[in-house]
Amino acid sequence: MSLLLTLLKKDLIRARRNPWVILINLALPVLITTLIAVAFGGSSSGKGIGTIKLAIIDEDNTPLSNFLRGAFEQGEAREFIDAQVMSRDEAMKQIKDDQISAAVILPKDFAVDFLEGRSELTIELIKNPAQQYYPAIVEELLGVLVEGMNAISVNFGDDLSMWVGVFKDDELPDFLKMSQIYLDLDKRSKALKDYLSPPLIIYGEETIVSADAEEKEERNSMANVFAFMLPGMASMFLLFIADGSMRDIFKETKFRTFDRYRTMHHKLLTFIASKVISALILICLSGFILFFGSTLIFQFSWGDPLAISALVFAYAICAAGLLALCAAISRSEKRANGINITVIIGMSFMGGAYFPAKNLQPFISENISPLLPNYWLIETVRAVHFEPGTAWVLPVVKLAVVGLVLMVAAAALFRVQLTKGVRE
Amino acid sequence: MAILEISGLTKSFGELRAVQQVDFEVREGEIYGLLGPNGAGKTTTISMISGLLKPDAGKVVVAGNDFWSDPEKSQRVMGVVPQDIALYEEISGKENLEFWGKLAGLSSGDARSRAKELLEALSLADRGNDPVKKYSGGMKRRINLGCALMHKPKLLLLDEPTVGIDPQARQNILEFIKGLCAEGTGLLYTTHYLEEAEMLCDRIGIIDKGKLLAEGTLNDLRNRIGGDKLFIVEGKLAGAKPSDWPDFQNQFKVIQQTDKQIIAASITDRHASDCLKDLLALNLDIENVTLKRPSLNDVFLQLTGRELRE
Repeated sequence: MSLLLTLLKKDLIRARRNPWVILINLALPVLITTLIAVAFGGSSSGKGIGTIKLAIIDEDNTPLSNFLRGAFEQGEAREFIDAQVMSRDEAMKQIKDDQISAAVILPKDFAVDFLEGRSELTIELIKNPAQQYYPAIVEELLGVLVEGMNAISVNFGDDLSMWVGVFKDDELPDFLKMSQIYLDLDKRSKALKDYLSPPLIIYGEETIVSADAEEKEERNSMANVFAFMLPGMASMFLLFIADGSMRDIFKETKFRTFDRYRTMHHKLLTFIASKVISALILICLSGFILFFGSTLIFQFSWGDPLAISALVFAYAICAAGLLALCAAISRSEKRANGINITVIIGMSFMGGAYFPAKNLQPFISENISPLLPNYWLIETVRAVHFEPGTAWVLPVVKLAVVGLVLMVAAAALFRVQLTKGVRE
Repeated sequence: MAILEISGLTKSFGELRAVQQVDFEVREGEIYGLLGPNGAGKTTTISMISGLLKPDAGKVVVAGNDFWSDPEKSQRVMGVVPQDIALYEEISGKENLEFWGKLAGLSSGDARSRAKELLEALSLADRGNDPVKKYSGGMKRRINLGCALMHKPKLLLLDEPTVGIDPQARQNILEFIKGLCAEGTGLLYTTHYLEEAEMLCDRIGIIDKGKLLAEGTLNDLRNRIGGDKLFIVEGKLAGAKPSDWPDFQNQFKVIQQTDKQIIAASITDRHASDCLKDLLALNLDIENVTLKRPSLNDVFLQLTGRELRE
C-alpha cells in the first residue's frame, strides 16, 4: 500500500508541476456542458430546451391545414412548442417584439394543391432574426414534416386526389368515400407489411399498468433532451479522458522511468494500478462535473443521485481498466492513436452513445450492444432517471468487476510482452 | 567473492542472436568493464541481469541467488543506471532521488537524508531543488547515477553512464564511480569508450556481435597481442607477404594488414631498436614506422579484424 501511495504521490507532484493537462481535461467537460446548455436554452424554463413559441398562419383553413396546425399541438411536441393560430400581421408584430420564435404560413389552396399533386407547393417559414436556436429547431421540424408529406404524395398520390371529393365547403365530409379510402389504404398497408422490416406502419396500443402513473407522468415531464443525451455523450467523453490519462504509461516508457521501475523489486501490477487509480481520479472528477455540474446549469436533478454517483464511479473503473488493456495491446503511443480511437469510437457507436442502441441494426442492438460497458452505463442512467425504482446495483457491480478484470489482464499482458522483450 | 555470476547467457530477437553464450563474473569491490561497439549486446546483457528481459538460456546468479527463480530478492541488492536518462523531468533532482530511494525500500526520513548526502557527493547540492528539465546533460547523468545508489546496492549495473556528456562531466562521474569500489560495491560497467575501460576497470570483457571474445585485466588482454611493443608500418604494401619474409614469423605477429599498413607486435624480448632495424631491412617501400604500446583497440582489432571506433 505504501508503494502505491508513493507512486500516486509522485504522479500528483508531476501533475502539480505541469497542471495544464489535468486542467484541460477538467475544463473540457465544463465547456461541453456549457455549450450544450447554451444550445438548448439553458435554464430559461427549467425544462431543458424550454418552450418554443410559434405562430401558425392558416390562410387555407381547410381540414388538412387544420390537421397540420394541430400537429404542432399533439403528443410530445406540445411540451416544447406553444403554437398559436393568428393572423399574418399579428405574427409579424410578435416577431418584431421578440415574443415568438417563428411563424409558419399555410398558404391559400394549400390542401387542394397538395391533394391534387400539383408542384410548386410552398409552406412559408418566417424566422425571428433576434433568436438563434429556436427558429433553427422549428425549421428542422418543418423539414421533417415536409419530407413526410412528400413521402405521402409520392406513395399515395392517386389516393390523395380522391380526398378532394371528401371535403366540400360548408358541408360535412363524405364519410362513405372516406371509409372506402381507408379500406384501400388498410389493404395496401397489410400487403407492404411482408416486405418491410421494420414495418413502415405499426398499429399499437398503450396500456397504463402502473398505479403511480401520475407520478411517472410528472417525472417524465422533467425528462428533457439533455438528461437523455448526456449519458451517451459522457460515456464516450470519459473513455477519451481515460485514454489521455492512461497514456502516461507511454510517457513513462519513453522516458525510461518505467524500465527503471521494472529493475526494482516491485510488482508490475502495482505500477499499472497506480496509473489506473490516477486515471480513475481524473475520470471520476470529469464524470461528476459532467453529470452533476450540468444539473446546476440546467436546474434539474437526477432521479437518484446515489445511483448516478455509483454508476459514474464504476464506469470510471471500467474505463480505466479498458484503456489500460488498450495500452498493453498497443504497446506504443503511435499504435495507440489508431487502436484506442477505433475502440472508443466503435464502442460508443455500438453502445448507444450516438444513437439509442435500440435504433441500431438489430444484429448490433441485440447481440453486441448489451455486452458493452458503456451501454450498461447509458441505459442504466436513463432508466434510473426516467423510471424510478430501476435496479442499478447489478450494473454497478458488473462495471466495477469488468474494470478490475481488465486491469489485471492489462498487467499480465504488459508482463508477458516486456519480459519477452517486445518493445517499440 | 563473486557478487554476480553469468553463465551461458543467451538471447535472440527473431533471427537476431543478440547475446550468445556469455559467461563472466563480477567480484565484490571490482569494476568489470564490458567493452564493445554499439549493437554488440551490452545493453541486452544488462537487461537480462536486471530483469528487464528474460534470457532464452543461461543463468544469472546475484549474491548467490539464482536471479530468475526469485527476481525481487536479487533486485533488492542491485542498482541499475540505464543508458538513457530515466528521470521525471517535471520534478526536482532531490525529489527524484527520494522517490527512487523509497521504491528501493528506504523510509521517507532515510530517503531524505540519503538524497542530501548524494546531492553533495555528486556536487549538486545547490541545484537539488530545481526541476530536472532545467539541468544540463551532465547534471542529469549524475542524478541518474544517484538514483541507483540510494539504497547502497552491493551490485551496481552501469550501462554506458557517460554517453553524450562533455569530458569534464565525464571525468567527475568516473571519479565518483571509482570511489564506490572502495565501499565494496561490485560494478558492471558497459562502455564503448576504450579510455574509460582502460582507466576505470579492474577486468574487462570484450564483446562483439553478442559473443564475449576475451576477458581479463588490461595487461592480460594486451599480452594476448604477444608483446608490449607494437609497430605500425606504413607504405606501399600491396602484395606484401609476411610469410615469405625470412625469420619474420619468429619475431613478429601480424595483427592487421592492408595495402597501406601492417600492424605487427614484437613477440620477443628484443629491444625496440633491434626490431625496428629488422623491419627497415625488409625489402619494402616503407614510408613511416611508428612504435607504440598495445591498446584495447589493438586487442579488439586482433580479435575482430576491425577497430572498435569503426
